[in-house]
Amino acid sequence: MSDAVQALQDIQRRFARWVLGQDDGAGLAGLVEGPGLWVHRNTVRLTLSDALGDLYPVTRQVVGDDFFAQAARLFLRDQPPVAATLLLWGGRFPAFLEELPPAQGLPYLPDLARLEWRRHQALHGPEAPVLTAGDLAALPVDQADGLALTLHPTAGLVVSDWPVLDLWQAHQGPDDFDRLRFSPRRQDIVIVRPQAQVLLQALPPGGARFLACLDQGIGPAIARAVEEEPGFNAGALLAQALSAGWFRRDAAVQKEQV
Amino acid sequence: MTLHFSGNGETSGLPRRAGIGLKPEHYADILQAGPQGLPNVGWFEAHPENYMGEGGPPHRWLTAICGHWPLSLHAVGLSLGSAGGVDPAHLARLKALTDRYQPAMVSDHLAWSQVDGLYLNDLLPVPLTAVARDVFAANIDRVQTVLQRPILIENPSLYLRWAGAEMTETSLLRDLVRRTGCGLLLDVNNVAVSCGNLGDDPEAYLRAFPLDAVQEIHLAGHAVRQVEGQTLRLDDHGSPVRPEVWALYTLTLRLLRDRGLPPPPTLIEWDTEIPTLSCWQQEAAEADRLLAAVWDEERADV
Repeated sequence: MSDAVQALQDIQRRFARWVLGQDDGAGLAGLVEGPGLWVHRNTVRLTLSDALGDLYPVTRQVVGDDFFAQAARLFLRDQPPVAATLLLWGGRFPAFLEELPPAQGLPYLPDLARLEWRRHQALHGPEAPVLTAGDLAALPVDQADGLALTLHPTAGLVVSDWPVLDLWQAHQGPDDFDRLRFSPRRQDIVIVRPQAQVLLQALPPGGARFLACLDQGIGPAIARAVEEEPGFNAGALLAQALSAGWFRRDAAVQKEQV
Repeated sequence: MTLHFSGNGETSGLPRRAGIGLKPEHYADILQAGPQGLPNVGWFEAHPENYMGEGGPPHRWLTAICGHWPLSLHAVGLSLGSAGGVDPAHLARLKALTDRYQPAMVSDHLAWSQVDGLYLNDLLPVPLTAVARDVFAANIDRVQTVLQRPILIENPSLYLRWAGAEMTETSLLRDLVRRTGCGLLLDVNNVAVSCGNLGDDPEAYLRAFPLDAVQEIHLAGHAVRQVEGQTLRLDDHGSPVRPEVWALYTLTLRLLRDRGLPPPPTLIEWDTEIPTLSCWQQEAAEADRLLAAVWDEERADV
C-alpha cells in the first residue's frame, strides 16, 4: 500500500472511531466541512441499534426500549459488525448481556437472547431435506440401536435454568406476562426450521442431551440422556422429532457401516 | 483498465420504466397480485445484503418474485471507497447471489463503509482526490472481474465535504466510467440532498453529470430538519418524492432526451416508514407518466 493510500486508510480509521463512539472525533478536526459528522454518527448508532432490536425483539420488550438502546450502544462500541451483511452480526450479544452490570438483576436474560439468536440462525440457515418416520421404518429393526441421526442444519439447542421459551411465547401476543410468577425451572429447547417456519419446542428434561448425542447412535444417545434424567423416555421424543422434521434426511446412516 | 464483458456476463438491462423496492412486508401481496395486479411496477430492486443468509424465507420469496419480474440488486456493502480494498468474503457472497438470481442490474454507491474489517452500516463520503479515485477505480475493477459484469455506481447523499478536494464529484464519476467501464446510477433525490446540505446548485450538478453513462435513476423522499439553526436534508427514504425532486427528475429526463438517450429505468426507493403497495405504486405511476410525457414532448417538437 502506498503512503497516499495509507493516509486515506488512516482518515477512514479516524472516521470509524468517531462514528462508533470510540473517541470524540478530535482526529477529524480540519478535515471535514459541513454538519455531517453528527449525521453519520447518529445514522450508524440508530440503524445498528434498530437492527439489533429486530434481532432480539423479546429481549428488548423485557428490558424496555431505553435500556435496550443503551446496551446496544455499548455493544456496538465494543463489538461492531465485521461483515457487510447484518445477518451475521449480533451473535455475541447474549454473552455481552451476561457481563453487563445493569443486566445482572435479570439472570434469565442471556438465555432468552440465546433463544432469539438461535431462532435467527434457524430462519437463515441452509435448506436440507428432512428425515421422515417412513425413511426409518424402511430400515431393519435390529439396526435401530446403531443408527446415527443428524439434526437438521437449521437446528439449535438451548438449555436454560429458566423457562425462557415460556417467557418468549408469553411475549408473542398482548403483553400480559406476569413476571412475579416467573421462577427458575430448567427448560431444554430445540429451535429448527425444517420448511418455511421456525419451530420452537420445549423438550422433556434430558431431551437436549439426547438430541445432541444422536449423531453417536440412538443407543449411546439414550444412555447419555438417562445419565442426566433417569426417567427419560426416548421413544416419545423420537416420534415427535420425526413427525416434526428435526433431522436431515441424507445424514441417516448405519453407524456400523461407516 | 477498461474491461470488456461478454458471454453469460452480458446483462439484459432493466425495463425502461418505473420499478419499486422489494420489502418483506409486501412479499405475499406482490405474489398474490402478480404482474397484472401491479400494472405500474415494471421491476423490483432489492438489497443483496438482506439475502446473504444460506437459506430461509428471504430466498424462497425472492425466487418466487424473480419468476415474474426483472430484478435489480442494489448493494450497500461493497465499500468501494475503502483504502483497504473490497472484502473478499462479501464479494463472494454477492457473486453467489448474482449467479443464483441473474439480476438485470447490479449497483452500489460512491461511498465507503468498512475499515480494518469493521462494517459501519452507513454510506460514508469519499474524498474528491486522485488517490481516493484511484482506490475506487481499482475496487470497481476487482468487483467487475469477479462478477464478470459491469456494475453501476450511484452518486451519494452528502452531509459534509472533505477538505482538500482536487476535483468535482461529477468529474470523479466521469473518470470512473472511463477507467473501469462501469455505468452510473443517478439518484436525483441525492442530488437535492447533497446540494441542499452543501450549498451547491442541483441543476448545475445535473448538467455536469456524465449522463451518457446513466443506466438507472433513483427517486425517493427525504426529510428536512432544523439542526442547530441549520436546515438539513436527511436522506431517510421515508416519504413520497418531494416536488422539487420531481422537478429535477423532469429536468434530468429532458437532458437525457436532448442527448438522444432513451428513457431510463427509474426506481422509487422507500426504506423507512414503508407505505402500502398501492401508495408506492402511485409514485411509480407518476414516474412512468413523466417518462412517457418527456419523450412525447420531443415528438410534439418535431
